[in-house]
Amino acid sequence: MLSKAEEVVLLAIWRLERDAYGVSIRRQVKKDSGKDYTYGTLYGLLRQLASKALIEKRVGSPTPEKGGRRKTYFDLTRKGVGALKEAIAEHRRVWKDLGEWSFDKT
Amino acid sequence: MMGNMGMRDRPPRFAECLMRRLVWAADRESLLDDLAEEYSERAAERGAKRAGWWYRFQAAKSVLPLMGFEACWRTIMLRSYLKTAFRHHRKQLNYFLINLTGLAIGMAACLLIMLWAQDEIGYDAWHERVNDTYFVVHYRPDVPDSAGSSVPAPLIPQLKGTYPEIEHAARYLDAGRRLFSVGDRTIYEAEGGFADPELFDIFSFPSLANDPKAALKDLNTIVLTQSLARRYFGAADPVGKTVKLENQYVFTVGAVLKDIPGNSTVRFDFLLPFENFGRFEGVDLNDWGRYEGYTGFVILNAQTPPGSFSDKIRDELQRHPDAVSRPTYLRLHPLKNVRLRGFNHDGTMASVLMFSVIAVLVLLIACVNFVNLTTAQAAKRAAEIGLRKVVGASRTAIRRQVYTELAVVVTSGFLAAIGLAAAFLPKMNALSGKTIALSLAGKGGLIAVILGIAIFTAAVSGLYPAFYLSALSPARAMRPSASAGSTRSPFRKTLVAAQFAISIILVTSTFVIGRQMRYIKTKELGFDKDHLMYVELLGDLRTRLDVVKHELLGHPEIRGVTTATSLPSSASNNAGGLDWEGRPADIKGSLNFVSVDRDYFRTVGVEFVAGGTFRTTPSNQRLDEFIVNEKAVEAMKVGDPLGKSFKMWDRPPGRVIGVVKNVHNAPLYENIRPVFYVQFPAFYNYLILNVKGERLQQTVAFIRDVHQRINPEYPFEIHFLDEAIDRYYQAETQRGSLIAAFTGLALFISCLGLFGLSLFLAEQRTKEIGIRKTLGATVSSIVGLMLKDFLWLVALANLVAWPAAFYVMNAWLRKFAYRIDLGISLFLISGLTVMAVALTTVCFHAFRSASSDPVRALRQE
Repeated sequence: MLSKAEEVVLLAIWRLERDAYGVSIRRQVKKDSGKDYTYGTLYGLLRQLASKALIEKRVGSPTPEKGGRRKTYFDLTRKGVGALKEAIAEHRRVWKDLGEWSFDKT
Repeated sequence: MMGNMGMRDRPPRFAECLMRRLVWAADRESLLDDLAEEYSERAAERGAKRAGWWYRFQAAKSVLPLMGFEACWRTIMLRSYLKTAFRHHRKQLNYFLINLTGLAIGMAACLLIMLWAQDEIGYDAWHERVNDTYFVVHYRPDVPDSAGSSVPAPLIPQLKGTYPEIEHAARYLDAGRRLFSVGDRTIYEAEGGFADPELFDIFSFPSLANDPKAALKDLNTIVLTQSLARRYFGAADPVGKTVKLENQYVFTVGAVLKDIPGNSTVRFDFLLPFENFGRFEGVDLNDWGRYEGYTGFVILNAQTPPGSFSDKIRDELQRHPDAVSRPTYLRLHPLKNVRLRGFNHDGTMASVLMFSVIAVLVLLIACVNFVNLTTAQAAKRAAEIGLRKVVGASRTAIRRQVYTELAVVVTSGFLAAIGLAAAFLPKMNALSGKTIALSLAGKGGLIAVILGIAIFTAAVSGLYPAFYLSALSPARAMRPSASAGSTRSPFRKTLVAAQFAISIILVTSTFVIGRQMRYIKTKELGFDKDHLMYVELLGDLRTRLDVVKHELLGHPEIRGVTTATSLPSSASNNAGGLDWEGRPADIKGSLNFVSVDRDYFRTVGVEFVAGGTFRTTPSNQRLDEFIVNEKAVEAMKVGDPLGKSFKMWDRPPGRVIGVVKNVHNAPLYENIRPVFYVQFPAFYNYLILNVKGERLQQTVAFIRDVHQRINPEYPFEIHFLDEAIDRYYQAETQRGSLIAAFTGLALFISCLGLFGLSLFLAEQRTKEIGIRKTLGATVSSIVGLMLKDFLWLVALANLVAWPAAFYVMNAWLRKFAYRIDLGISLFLISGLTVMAVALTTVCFHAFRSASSDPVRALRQE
């Protein structure tokens, strides 16, 4: 079971394909959900996801703007993709026939 | 803005540092890189200042989540550490059990000693006003360590009347043995006291029935403790019941107290109003010249500093001319440290320190086992740890892993230790003569001590292994041939040697103490101590002495009967105001005296050097004949005293008619005292009998019959003299057996460690031994090879231990005036004992691996 926050981060990594690293993930999350996570929270979530083996680290090639240091990227594992599928299926199940209108008083 | 290019790349230092600190190692660089990247973008767009603030906000808001995640992570890791630790211990069950046993015994020993020490330190502390309570003690300015608590009886009321600074004052006197009669039961009660009512303002003895202070104001009232009351009155309410003392004084029970705990300086089972002492003994309680052992306690009011008040009363005794003949001053002495420091630095502090040191040593030995066994196995674990490091474990992670393994051992050891301590507490109480209970109620200090022991153990035994193991390099793991963890580690060798050095010191001490105590108990004292028995001279026994002696001597087993002031083993009554012919002016007329009858020397077995025993009839008025011992001859400084005139007090002078050999008339801590003997019937206290050893029971039955017939008022009690002498050394004997017990434990734990270490080495050298055997080595040569290493370690330990043991034991022996020589043989014996025990331990594995089948050893991989 993914928490809501994990779900959002996982989804952002998927959307970014092979360009997911700290800055871009944070930006993507803000774009998708409007939430402005601090780096502390973000890295905590990334660590949790990694410990559940839903994502894995990949060390990129050295870039000149980082002074020759390598960037650390995050990729979805197969299990991570599975978790996203499971999440969306669960959403569908839970919300089934409901929409915003369902909560309006008639 | 372009001018700020240099600044732009440098985020705020403090915030960056904070983040670096907080984040875990694996993500540290990428997080900081990300932050720096976004920072420089923001700096480029909106200026360095705003970017700097953004960075600071990011850092501040990240603090909580980072810490939260870390904590959460740690518990996850802890589960993993625990699981690994349990697996590890299960795989290495031998070593786990060795460590566990060692630590459990070590901590249990430590715990027991701490309980004992706490009882000593907490002596009297339960009295509410312990910090304000003072003894009034006397001391002689010209004699060091001369302070004593005995003061004249009128002094305390006098002080209370004179000085308003004294809030409460009370006298207390040990009542000694008193005869109790309730109904038809007549028994001696040994523990009681005479006291002023204000004693209850000073000490907090909780009452169960009635106000004891009010009760003591009535001269015919007695206060009992619960257990004494129950002994006589059972479940019935004792208040108002009567008790007859000494067959003549009737007291009404006025109040009942809870039993006085073992750690109180003032202890009693019954308490009588102070004035009764005068009535019982015919003593004038207003006599300033008498010191019967009256003790005075005072509490000062809050405004009075005890130091200055102490000076103020210094000369109080001088104001009463008949109080003392020589300068004697008074001072206050605090109750709170009297148990530990005594009046003259002669309290139990030394024992408390000594046992605390032993406790820490025993615990250290157990810790050393852990350190040695853990680091010795490093080679085995090198592969595991190397692999962990390769897949990314940090040193910290490995350190935590080792700590968890340790925590599992220490925790289980600790629980076992509490169980062991509880099981052995009764034994320990019996050995030390205490009544300590293992309850934690109201013992905050004890809980702290227990936790302290656990933490100390964990810290001492964990730090080094954790560092050692986490520092192993992964490269080493890939070269299993590396010699990590052999005996060749000098550190480990030092530890083993230190362990054995401690054991040897303890074993030597035990031997020395044992031998000295045996020496003391078997030493010829100069009189026939094995055949002497005594009965207290009470009631009609005293008035019909001739009949008693005549009847007793009629029995063939009774070789002699005599009467005396004190037992031959203790001549402690000092008589001043003596004079003798030719006494030099600078020699004080003061010697110890014993009043005896003419049969004393023959009955007790004291030989004459010159002259002979008394010839005249005993009389309290005429003291015509004196006999002195050789020491007294020296002290009198008159050459040959035989025939010289000798005068005691106001009696007409008599003559010295005999000189007897010195006998040990004092405990062997002290030299033989100079004594003179005189026939002074008023001072006879004991009937002493010399009885043949055979058919003892019948003889005692015969003596009982005579006693019952002549003196039916008093219960018959007969004692052996050697038991009375043993009581001198009871405390020392108790301490000796405690030390012996803990020495045994220390040695056992050391051997346990050695056992583990040799098991490990044998395992490690399986292949080597296999090869040696195929090449033709004999079992004995291989055993020799394996013993060699340990042998010289223990030999080295001896060299370190002997001087230390000599120093400690020499200091201990100095308190005896008569002592054994500390010969080299004692040290050799203890050194060889420890070595033999160590070798036996190592031999077990050495033999097993030396005699194992080499084929199997070589097929191992």
